[in-house]
Amino acid sequence: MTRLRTAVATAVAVAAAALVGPHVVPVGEAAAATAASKTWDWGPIAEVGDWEQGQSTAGWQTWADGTGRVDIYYGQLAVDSGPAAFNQTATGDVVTTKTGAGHVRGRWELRVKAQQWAAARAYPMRLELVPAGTGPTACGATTVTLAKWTGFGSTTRFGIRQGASRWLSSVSLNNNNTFHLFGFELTDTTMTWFVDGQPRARLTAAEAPEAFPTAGLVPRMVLNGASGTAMTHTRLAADWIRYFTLDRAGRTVPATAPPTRSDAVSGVC
Amino acid sequence: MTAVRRTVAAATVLTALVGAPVLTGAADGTTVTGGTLAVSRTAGIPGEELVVTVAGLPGPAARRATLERCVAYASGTTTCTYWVAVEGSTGVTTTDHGYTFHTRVHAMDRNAYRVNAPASGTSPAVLSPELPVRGVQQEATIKVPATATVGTPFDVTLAWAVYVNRTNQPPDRPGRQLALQQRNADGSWTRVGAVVTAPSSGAVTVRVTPTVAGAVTYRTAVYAWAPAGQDTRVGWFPSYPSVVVVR
Repeated sequence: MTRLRTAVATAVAVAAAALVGPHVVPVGEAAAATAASKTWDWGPIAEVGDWEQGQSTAGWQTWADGTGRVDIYYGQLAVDSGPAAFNQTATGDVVTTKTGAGHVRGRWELRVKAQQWAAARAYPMRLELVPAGTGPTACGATTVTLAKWTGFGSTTRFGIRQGASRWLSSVSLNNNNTFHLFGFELTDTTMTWFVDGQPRARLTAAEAPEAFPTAGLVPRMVLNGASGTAMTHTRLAADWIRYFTLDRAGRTVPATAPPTRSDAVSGVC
Repeated sequence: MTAVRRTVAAATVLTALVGAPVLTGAADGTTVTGGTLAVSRTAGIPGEELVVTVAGLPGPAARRATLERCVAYASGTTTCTYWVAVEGSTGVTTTDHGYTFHTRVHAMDRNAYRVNAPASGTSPAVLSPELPVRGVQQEATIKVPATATVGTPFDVTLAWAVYVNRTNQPPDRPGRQLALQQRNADGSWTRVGAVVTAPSSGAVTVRVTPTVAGAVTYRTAVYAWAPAGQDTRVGWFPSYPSVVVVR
């Protein structure tokens, strides 16, 4: 297992392009921005998680029922399937959910990547917004999917689930140890999903008023293991997670196609 | 002192090519390198206290200076392509050509620091030499027997370490507190026994006497660390869990 942060130069070069957090102030010109929060002028930042200088997982509920753990790995919030032994397979789920009341409206953005070792059955991974208080393994009545994919698979889905109805879109990404940015804007009239800074789907209240959440939402990161199955050792890590209010209007985001609706959905997040 | 002259046009082109910052300099764009830099540690866990001292800055004895940290390197090299100001280190004024900055180690494998003093009057901008500080990951481990017997004590080794060169090494930082924890059915954790203090090796052995049969999941919890007299703030850290089957 490569425990040191790999491809540091590439990773931090991308990070530098996206830096807007409180711990650093860019000097001079930044490289091309890819974060939706920067591209579309979101602000102000109300909550930041970037674990830059020794922070712990405080403020996040951590949960694992197998070989995994949640920790801070080189400044990233990591859901890590384990186990400790090199090149061994994992079992169980690993979940972390932000504590607190969450936000009913606003903008969220995460910068994440996943690494894998010891090939077995690939973990499905999910980045979500769920109502505050949702249990670590619960697929509640409301789940905003910022991104979900399996292993190094490129098909990356995003959308929203409300009870038995689901609106879902997808995009193809290189998920092999590669950082991506996933953003979500939720107003009273529109919800928009962003991937690497660009809008990928939009759903309006006129199209589907029942889709709009009414509860305070919090981020959740999930490694979803198959019960009783040896899984690929996987680490899903967030370099940063930010929440922005809607106080700043921001730049106008062009309309995109709505996600596809399915009804009578059950048993999946 | 080495003079590095850059025209505005050249700096703009360089920025466009590699994303490098446009250096702040005197009106003619002159920037010089000078002074000496010292760091209080060459490696540290993110959050550990780091003191950076610059001395002998050329130009006026008192001038503004900023501590900067590299956040991007040219691929495959240690050549920094992007510097950022370290929070809380801007706007300070040097005295007697020097200044001491207090910060904490950042969470990157390779950190590099330098001091940037903008142009002051007729004195050109000054960049100090840069120094690397390696960020090392903290780790926690646990050793338990695979099986145990109800009523018979067994030993558990709790440890914390620093992860260097792909191996766990003794932290050489005595005094950190550890605890053995047991996973509950709902996924929460309960401490078992007393909190113990680790020596320089980072390892402590505790004894457990199981009272009921079944699979018990344990982990080491390494407590948050803020040793007295330092500005270190390192968060708590868990080991991977490990299972003992009690018969």
